[in-house]
Amino acid sequence: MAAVNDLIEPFLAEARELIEAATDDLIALEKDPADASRIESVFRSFHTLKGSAGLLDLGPMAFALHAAEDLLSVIRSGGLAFSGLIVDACLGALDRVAAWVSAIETAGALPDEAARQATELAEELRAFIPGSAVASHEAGPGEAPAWAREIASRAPRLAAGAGGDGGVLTAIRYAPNADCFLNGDDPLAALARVPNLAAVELATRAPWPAPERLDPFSCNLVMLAVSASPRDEVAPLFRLVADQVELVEVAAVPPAGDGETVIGSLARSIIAEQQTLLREDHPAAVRAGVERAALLSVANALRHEGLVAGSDTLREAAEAGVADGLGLIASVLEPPAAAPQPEPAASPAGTGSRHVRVDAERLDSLANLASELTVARNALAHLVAQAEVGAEDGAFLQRLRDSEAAIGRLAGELHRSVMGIRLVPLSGVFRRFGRPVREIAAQLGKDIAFEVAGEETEADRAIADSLFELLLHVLRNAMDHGLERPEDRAAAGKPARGRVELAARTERDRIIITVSDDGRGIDPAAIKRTALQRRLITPEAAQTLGDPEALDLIFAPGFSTAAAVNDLSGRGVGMDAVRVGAQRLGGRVEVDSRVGRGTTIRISLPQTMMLTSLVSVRAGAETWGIPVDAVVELQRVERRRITKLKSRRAVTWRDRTIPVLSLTERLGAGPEREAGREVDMLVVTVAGEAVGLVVDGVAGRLEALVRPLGGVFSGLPGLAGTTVLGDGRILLVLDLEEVLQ
Amino acid sequence: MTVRRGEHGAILLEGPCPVEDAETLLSLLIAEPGAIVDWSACTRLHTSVVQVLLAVRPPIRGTCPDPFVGQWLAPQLPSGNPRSA
Repeated sequence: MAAVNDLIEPFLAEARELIEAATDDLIALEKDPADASRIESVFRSFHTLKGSAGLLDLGPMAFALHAAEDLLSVIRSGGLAFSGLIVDACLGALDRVAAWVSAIETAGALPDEAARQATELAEELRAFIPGSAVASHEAGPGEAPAWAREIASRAPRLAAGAGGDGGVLTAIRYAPNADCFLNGDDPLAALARVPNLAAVELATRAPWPAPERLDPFSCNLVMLAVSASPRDEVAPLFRLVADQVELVEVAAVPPAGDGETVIGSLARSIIAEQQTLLREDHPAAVRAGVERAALLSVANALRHEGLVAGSDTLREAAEAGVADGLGLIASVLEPPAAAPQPEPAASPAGTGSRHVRVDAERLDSLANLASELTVARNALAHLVAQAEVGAEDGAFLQRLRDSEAAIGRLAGELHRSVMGIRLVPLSGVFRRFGRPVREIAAQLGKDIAFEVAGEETEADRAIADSLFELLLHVLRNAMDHGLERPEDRAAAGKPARGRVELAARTERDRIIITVSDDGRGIDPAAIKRTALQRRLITPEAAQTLGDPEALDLIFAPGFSTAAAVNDLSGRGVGMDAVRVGAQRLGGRVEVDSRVGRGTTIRISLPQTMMLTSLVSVRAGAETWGIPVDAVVELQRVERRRITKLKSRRAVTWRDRTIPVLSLTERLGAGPEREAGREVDMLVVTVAGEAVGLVVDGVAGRLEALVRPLGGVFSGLPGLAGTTVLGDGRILLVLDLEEVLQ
Repeated sequence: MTVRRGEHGAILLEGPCPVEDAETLLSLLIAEPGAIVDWSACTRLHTSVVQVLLAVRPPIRGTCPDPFVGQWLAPQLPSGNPRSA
């Protein structure tokens, strides 16, 4: 199925990243189990993984991850603390998921045993949750397994000490074979014959499918029960199905809580797991990916053990695409004096499946441009030959200029075409929402008209790939919290069918994506109350907060909550994640809402991650770049038009008064030059406010590849990045928002 | 017949419901989502039938005369309006 295949590839990459991030968090949590940001982060990783698995119909994977998420949710809400055992179980879950991800990559599907593995995994994870129904098989020697203690604790009348035989109960776990009905078994009838039943709990082996896909003759039940009779009296009843039944004697008074054991050699077990993974056979196409992921996992584990040097070696090797990960890990763990350090091999060709589908028309246009460029270069060669023999005539300079202009035009077009290859229409990502939207609507019991507009808008591949998760959160919020229940809509005189629109358009060189609903809207006063309750703002701040600022609080971390727990969202991972996600893509998110009329979430993103239009301006002795999208207008202003109000200055611009600031002063590059009757002023918008920015001169406009600051410059305030000018000089690009703060 | 469509659209389980009834019950529930199941005349339920009730979770009416079902299984199933049989 092509549509599903489109989703698999981004999923694989995303899953590997999430597994890596979660591993990192878990190991840190073992050292500091109360680190709230790590808990939040690991919860989110599992949450996202589960959501993606659910969307791709990877049932067993979603089932197991749901259990992990439930466990982490309890920890997150303070109902349980991280212990070594829990960290271990979560890491085990990640290993299992990693193995499944590899299987999906190679075989295109989860392995046959995935359902069984998922069930075991889920039981193991849920066993940690206080009061959970399903429990683990594993237990220390001499101790009743968690499932047995759990079900025994559900026999309250007997737990008081009146157990059948000296306070001993028999816990029964009966997991009938799937084909038991066909063999004539009736498992519940067998259970009904057990004497002195004290508790019965029905669980499932795998999640229930939709009724249409349920096989009525395949048994999916797991029965847990407690009898107040001794084991010897219970066992004969299950003689014929002994292989499907576990019987455990437990004390009538259930032991309280789970024991906590710290596992010292946690890192070692991670490393062992990765080594096992590397010893397995992997097809050439995925080998490199597996090697890289394994090396990075081991590197993380070593770093947390304080073995920084070894960690760095492995990390570098992973980035360089080393071929012999196993040997490298061994050499880092026990550096043998004589063993040669494996040389990091050159990155193997075709490490991944980074194919790009290119429209044939775009290729043709590239070929044409290349030919034209050759012709233009020939014209230039002719001029060069003329100059060499000193035969420049009167028209020479003009022809040289024409040649330069022609080559410049072609180079620009060529660049745009090449960049265009990275652009993909958003229809690819928008198409993926149809199904989840329908499912969410059904879950919520709402009739929803979902409309999509502007799906032909193009965005950089990297941005389009990252948009799905982000927009799904927003859409779900619109459907769940934005739209009223049908009866409330009727009462408000609205059509019963709610409307949610997802639209995209290009505005200058940014993409604007909006999600609008015609629902109840957001009441700023209610937002303030909630923010106060959650202590996100102080009572004083609430007094002075304007409506737009109040609405903006929905993006504050810790603001959103959703009562419903389901496959896609909820549990308070909300709009703050949307804002963070958009910012990571160089974007912004805003909300606009009218009570009773509806809400619009507006996400503005750069169209390409690569080219930025800049104005270069002089301030003091330096030249700086300012992103054009912040600049509304460039003006020469007479000094006398700038009025002084105490220490501040202002100017009238388009019939309103805007503040005037000096870039030179803001940058601490000295006082503003006072010479001349006029000044150059850029009108820029920062956080929605127009500001007049006086500069010492405007040097020009350019399209540039802005690179984020790295190394010693990273985190330097006020700078967005750097770009290299034609003459090799570095132009520092300003982050106006920070400069003007 | 141990599974049949009764008056007012309810699905009636009557007498001992054997393993084959699971399929009949499931197809009735698929044909009419939300239909009520009445088990007040059902003397015994095969596991497969219980499984369909657990998986589809239709509203259930009445009290099942089978004591095992009444004591241990009924609390784990959604009840429509019990005892109004």
